[in-house]
Amino acid sequence: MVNRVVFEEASTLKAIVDAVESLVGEASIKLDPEEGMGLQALDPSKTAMIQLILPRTYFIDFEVEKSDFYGINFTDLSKILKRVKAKERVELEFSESEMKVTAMNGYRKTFELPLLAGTPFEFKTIKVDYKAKARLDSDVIPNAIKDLKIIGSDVEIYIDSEKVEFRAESDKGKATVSITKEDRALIDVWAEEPSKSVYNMSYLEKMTKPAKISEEADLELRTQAPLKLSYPLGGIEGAGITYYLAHLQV
Amino acid sequence: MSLDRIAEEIRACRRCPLHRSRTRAVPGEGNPKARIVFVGEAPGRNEDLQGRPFVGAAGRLLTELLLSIGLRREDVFITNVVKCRPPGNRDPRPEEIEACLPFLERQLQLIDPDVIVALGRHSALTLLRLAGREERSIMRIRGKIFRVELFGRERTLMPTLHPAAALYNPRLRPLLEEDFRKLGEIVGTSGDSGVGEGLEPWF
Repeated sequence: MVNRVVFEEASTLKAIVDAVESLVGEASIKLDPEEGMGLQALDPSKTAMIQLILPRTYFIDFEVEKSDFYGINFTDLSKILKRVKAKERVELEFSESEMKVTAMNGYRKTFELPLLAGTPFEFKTIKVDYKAKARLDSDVIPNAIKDLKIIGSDVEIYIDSEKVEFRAESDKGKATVSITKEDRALIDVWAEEPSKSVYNMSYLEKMTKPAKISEEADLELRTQAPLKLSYPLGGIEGAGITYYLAHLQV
Repeated sequence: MSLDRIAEEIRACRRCPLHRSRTRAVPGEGNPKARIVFVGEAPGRNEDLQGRPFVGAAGRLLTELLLSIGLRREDVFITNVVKCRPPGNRDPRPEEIEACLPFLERQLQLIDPDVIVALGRHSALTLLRLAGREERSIMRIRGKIFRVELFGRERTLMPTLHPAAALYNPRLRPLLEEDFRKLGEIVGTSGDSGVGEGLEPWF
């Protein structure tokens, strides 16, 4: 039995694979006739986790008869997708032992990759009662990181009911990127109480890759707790990439 | 004598031909009172351009491995046996290692770490030789704990693979991760370091 899914444009798949590959080399995806495609991967240091949900309506074609898990070498898949242009249509076909990647743009290119043993998973939930949330233009976070990297390797994120701040401090000095309610880049902000925590900058940087395919990013925060960072995808309810990042105890 | 002073000397050094091709010398960086020092082999392209150790892909992997055992880069000191980039990232030559070694020796004396982690074959064999032991194969000694007499007192020396080797050959990565887990147990940081315990307690 072959399960088959088709992405209208490779750009989404490229960004997803890039996002997963930056955290883990290999991961399992789930294909389910009702739920669509799902992925969950925890990085080896258990510092960061990525979850992906793409409902079946996200795909232009979704032919899955039976729920199954497939282990994928994302490092190899990422290399293949570098040879595929963003606007090309991409089809993924899963047989028992291999995945066939076909890119279509006037002519067809096909790559066949061996599948790894798929590890069944249930989506984990992080038990944090978040106290602050902000919706931002997604490119704000990668730009803030570029600014703060000049100063330090950790970033403090602060949210209150008026603003979001990204801060870094080291013996090189201090840097603050502040986005207030008056700024167009802050779409919405809510805080039951002002919240702040410190996170590793290089991990957070990896978590900005979906900004290429999502216009908005949701930050959820609680003092001294993991960060939740979500990117809605394609305007389709339930479709999105969610990251969790462990805080640093400082 | 301070680490800054040694760094200045390294930047001005002309003891071997590598000074001619370097962009910047890479003295090392980190906590001057670190309990753990990581010693790599020689700077690569990114390190040569920035004058900082382990800043490229191998550096990112090293940072992740450190975090996995509850350490941040600024908790440790990171340096190399050879402080200037060998052209084309070739292995450092014995005469280059000999010319540069006094800098490393002085850095280690000054920092006075309890644990030295040798990243890669050249670093491991050089540090073991300093401790009076001759070894040849990194695969034979990686992950082993050596109690060695170095600079006037007993220290722990742990050789492991260079992170770049695990990037080049992903099959080596589990070995590197295994060695770091062992390191975490030795230094007692795993899960209790001020860096947090990762996400697990929150599931």
